Amino acid sequence: MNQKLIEELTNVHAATSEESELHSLITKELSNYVDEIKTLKNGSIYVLKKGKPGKYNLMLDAHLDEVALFVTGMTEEGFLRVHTKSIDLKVLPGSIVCVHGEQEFKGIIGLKPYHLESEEETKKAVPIDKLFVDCGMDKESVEKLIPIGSTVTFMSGFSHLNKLISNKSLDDRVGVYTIIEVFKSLKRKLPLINIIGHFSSQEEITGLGAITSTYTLKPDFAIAIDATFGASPNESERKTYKMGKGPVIFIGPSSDRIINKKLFAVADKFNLTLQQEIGILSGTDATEIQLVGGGIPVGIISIPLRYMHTPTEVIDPTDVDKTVNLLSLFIEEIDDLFLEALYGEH
Amino acid sequence: MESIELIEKLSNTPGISGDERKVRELLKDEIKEYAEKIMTDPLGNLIALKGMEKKGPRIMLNAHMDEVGLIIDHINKDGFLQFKKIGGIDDRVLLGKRVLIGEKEIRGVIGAKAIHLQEVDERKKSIKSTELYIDIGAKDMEEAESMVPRGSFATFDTKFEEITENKFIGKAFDDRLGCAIIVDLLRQNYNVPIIALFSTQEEIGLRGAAVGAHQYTPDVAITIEGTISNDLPEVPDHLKCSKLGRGPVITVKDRGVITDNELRGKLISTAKQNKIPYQFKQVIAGGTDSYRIQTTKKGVKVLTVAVPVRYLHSPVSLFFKDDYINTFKLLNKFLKKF
Repeated sequence: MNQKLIEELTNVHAATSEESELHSLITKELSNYVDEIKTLKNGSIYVLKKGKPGKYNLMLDAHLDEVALFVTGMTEEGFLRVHTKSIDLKVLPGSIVCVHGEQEFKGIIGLKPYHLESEEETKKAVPIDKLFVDCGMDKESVEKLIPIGSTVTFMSGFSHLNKLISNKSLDDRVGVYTIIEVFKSLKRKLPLINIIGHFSSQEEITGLGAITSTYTLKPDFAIAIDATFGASPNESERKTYKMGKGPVIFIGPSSDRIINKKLFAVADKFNLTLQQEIGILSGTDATEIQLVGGGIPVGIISIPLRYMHTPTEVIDPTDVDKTVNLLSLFIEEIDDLFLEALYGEH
Repeated sequence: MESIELIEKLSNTPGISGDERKVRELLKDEIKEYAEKIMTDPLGNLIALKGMEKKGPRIMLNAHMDEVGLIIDHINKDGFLQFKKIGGIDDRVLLGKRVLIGEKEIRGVIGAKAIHLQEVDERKKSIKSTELYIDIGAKDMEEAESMVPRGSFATFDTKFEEITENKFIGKAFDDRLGCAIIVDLLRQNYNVPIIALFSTQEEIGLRGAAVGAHQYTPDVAITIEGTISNDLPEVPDHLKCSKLGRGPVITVKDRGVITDNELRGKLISTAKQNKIPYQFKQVIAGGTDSYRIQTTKKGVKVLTVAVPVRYLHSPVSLFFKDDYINTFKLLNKFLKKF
């Protein structure tokens, strides 16, 4: 794995609706490998590599945005009040955050000393309306520099845990990374079809990027690359996937049978191990992509990730490498037979 | 500023109660030019002497070197670590934090269950520390054991930094701020003998200081602390304990000590004469090494003075430089009076 790239990608702060800082990084990485790069008004960015004869378009999708809090107000003393629905409130007390106001500020999500609270109180998670961010600033400075609506993200802390990697926003920078590396691998063999890499905005809240870019880009079929739950002692075995055992293919109504069949056939041929996630709706961009225009066949490939939506998400880099490999081989193995099957059925 | 660089080094150094070695080595190095004699006792306390031949009362300056942290007591078959807390840590600040473990400072994270997989009532309850796991990326118990032997100490992986003008964040300000002030005071010259006691195991029962004043027993001891500043939203004024920016916090009474009335009066008049702001510790909670020192042998007159710190005993605390400087100034002027 190109660890420098995943470190760079996860160090960037891209709260839902503020994804633009990643655009330049993706452009820098891919400008030599693709025929077209364009940012879209919805906050997404896409790249295109033309295939030959290029009759069909495949869209690979990963989301740029990371979970965030939003500033809703401030107290008389200058502490910020915040709101979020996508973050477990229990991870917030005692953490350092980045507040994206007129400039970037660091802040602490503080907690009152427990010996000054009732025992009953300490048994509860601190509710969102009691949490606050302390940037060490008075009300006057806060009013001037941190407008209401400013986003708040976890502080970056890229670290190696033995052979694993931990940081904020690995969900879904591992997907972004995978697509970047797949495009680099297309040099090996010109694909039969056009490949679009779509790096979407706002997956964590609205799905805006997936819905509106897909309409613009009109792919014939799509594959979303996202994170799924990695096994840990906190979670039941039935709901999680093993770290280091390779990509996870989503099986259920929100994924296409023919695409899945092809993914397994490719894995078989090249002796790759895959895991399966059985569900109804995948909770990824694919759910939105499937319903754009007249309907689009989608596949979902996920990378096991522990402690999702926390400052300390963890992945196994070998799973990411295996996902890059699977997708590259999948693209190379696309043939008329597969395309016929895909379009014969729908 | 010199003091800030010293505080940064002290804050970033790990030193859980029972293993203060790295902090002790750092302090030894910092004070070697100023102290005439430096020694370590069986509990690991660092004692430094300056001007012992001078007349006048022997004054002890005391701060503790240790910080709160974790000790690894169990490793499960999949290689995840479990731990006991050392010192008073609120279970609610542990989830989702980074830690450094053992001699080799192995990195780990305290993992949290994904919000997507939590039931509604799970989201509302805090989690006991005994139910938490540290992930060091080990593939099984054997590999974990080879990386982190049981009994290893873990400290919060938090780096010192200035977040806005003169406001600094980091770990272990309780009581590395006290340690830094003593180093700054040792750089000065006074007319009285000075005994510096950098103590161990304060956070688990004021244990180092229980013997720390035995060999060189002072007439007067000043314990210098980082203390709770609870000036946070929705806290009634009388429970704020101390407030950031209001200067050194003077203790009248805590759980173990009533500080010496006469000396406290002298300290307050020093503050007034020099127009140094000060405040009293409002909440009668907590205890400090001054309890142990006060009850050494026939007894010692004690004072406790502290820098206000927000979010004490959590992975990240905050202090204001002006409070540090005013605490130093007050003590410096006070010592000059002898």
